[in-house]
Amino acid sequence: MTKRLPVLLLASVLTHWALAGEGHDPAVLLPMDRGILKDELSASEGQVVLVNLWATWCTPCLREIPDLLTLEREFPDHEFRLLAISMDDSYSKDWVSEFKAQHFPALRSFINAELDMDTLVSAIDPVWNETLPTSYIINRNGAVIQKIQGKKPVTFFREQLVAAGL
Amino acid sequence: MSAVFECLTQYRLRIGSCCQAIAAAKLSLLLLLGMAVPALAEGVSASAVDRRAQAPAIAVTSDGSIHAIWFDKGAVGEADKKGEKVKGTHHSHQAFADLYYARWAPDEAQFTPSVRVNPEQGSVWGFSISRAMIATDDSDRIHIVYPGNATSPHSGKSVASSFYTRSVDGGNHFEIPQQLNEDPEEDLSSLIMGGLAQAQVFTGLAVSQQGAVHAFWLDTRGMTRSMRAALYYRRSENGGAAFGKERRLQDNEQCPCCQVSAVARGESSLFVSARKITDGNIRTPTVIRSHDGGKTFSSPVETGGAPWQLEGCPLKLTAMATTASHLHTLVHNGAEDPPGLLYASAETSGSDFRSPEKIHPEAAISDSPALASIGDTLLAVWHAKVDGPRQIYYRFSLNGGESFLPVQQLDTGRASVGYQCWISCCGDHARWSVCHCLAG
Repeated sequence: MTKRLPVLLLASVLTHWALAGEGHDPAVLLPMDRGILKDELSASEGQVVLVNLWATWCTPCLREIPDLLTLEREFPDHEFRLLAISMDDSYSKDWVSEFKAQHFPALRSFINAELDMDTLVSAIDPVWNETLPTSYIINRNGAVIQKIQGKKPVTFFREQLVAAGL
Repeated sequence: MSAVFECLTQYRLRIGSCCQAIAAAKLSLLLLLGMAVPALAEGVSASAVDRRAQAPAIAVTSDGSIHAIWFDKGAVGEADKKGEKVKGTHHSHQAFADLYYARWAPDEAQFTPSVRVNPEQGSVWGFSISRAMIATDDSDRIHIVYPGNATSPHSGKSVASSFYTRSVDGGNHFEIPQQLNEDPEEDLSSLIMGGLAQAQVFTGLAVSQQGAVHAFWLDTRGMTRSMRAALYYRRSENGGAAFGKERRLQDNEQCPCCQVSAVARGESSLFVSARKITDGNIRTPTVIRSHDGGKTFSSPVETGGAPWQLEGCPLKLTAMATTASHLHTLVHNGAEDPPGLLYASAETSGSDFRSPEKIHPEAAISDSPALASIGDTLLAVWHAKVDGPRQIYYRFSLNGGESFLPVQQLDTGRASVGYQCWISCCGDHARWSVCHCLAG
């Protein structure tokens, strides 16, 4: 058992990093329900997470995404995670994927797979008012420390992330 | 925006278990005396359970019939329709749906089988954030405005336009829809992430008792990167048979994604609400008034509340209703703590709004307002979360908004879907009706 413990620990760390650090293939738009959201956030503990809610029909959201991708490139993967979730109807998954591939090929995003937007988002914010874009900053302990509504400049996000411990 | 749910459950508020119609005046008195507690009839669905339906709206005619419309997004389990690529790309605001209509007559157990209003399948720009509107007049004509998919004759690119149709035979047939807005030449597809060249949608509708039809919409003509829309208007003085020229009422100062709402009182008074973007990107609900049937309009007056600074999509309209001497508004304010619905009133003659107050102080959040009035009785209905899942709540005022009876919960038996599903309510002299979407 003593000899196997380091191997188990290493496997655990690698699994954690696989879930949280590298993310999925950006070409794939993965469905997200409440359970998956909670799992993803749990796996991201230890990182500062920016959860960003966007939609193809939300122009301020689309204008914000390049800034968020800039931040993703700035901060090390093991320190920071951009968790983007499309609030488009999951029935639109095919063409949302196509749209994202055309305009934001580097964006790793999930798509809401719940009945409506609030069912998903209430897993982290029970009183979300369905306004987009909305972002949440989650600290390394998994606590939501800030809710940001509306498009903000990249400098604003950077300041908030640094204040969150990056 | 939503997946699977049952649409349009209609409730009748009635006294005890008796199905007799109670005149509104007597009902009001009974409520005031505490002798009556509104009870609910069973809900009646208007849409089929195997269809995805959104954004219902209802209106009543003098025979007590309830006329319901909603967006049909396809069968449960069926992927959303995808439009043809235009000039090599799909635009970012894709929505191909249909507008369905059904009628419930008094003493009928069910709605009529639903029929499609739009002639061409998929021609409705079916975003629930830009819902279709329905209204009736004293001649029992049914008037509908809805957003439609179209192609610009100038750029050849996809656009979203406002359409009007009507029925003069109680909903048995609807006339071929007519486009309300002209076709702008400007191609704004680079502003809106490719493809959608123009948008003239988020249409509001008000109809006078004698059938003057007033349609308003948010218009992207003149829009720049600051993303402000203009407010346009078109009027028919003959029950929708013909419309006058479109008019630009407000320049590019409006939030482009908060639907316009409108209400008529008598033949000369009109009230129109949109969200104006003021200094510092504050999204402010405002009302403009006309007292000459739409010939001229006042400057915008704010309905009040904490300034909501937001560079984003509030997607919130202002619910409005009128009583004898007042205009009543109910609107979500995201800057309030907690965010929620604010009720405010002003004299219809043109005063400023009184300080707004929360319609549901105990709610953790409230949204999706609807207002209806009969005489001086006002009904407010909305979504809210108190200490659990989202439910529907309501309050009556029996004195023209001076005070409200306690908040009541509408027992739908199941969780209600998103705030953007909207609630619609209306009343005639026999009953109040509420429609909304339920989780399937």
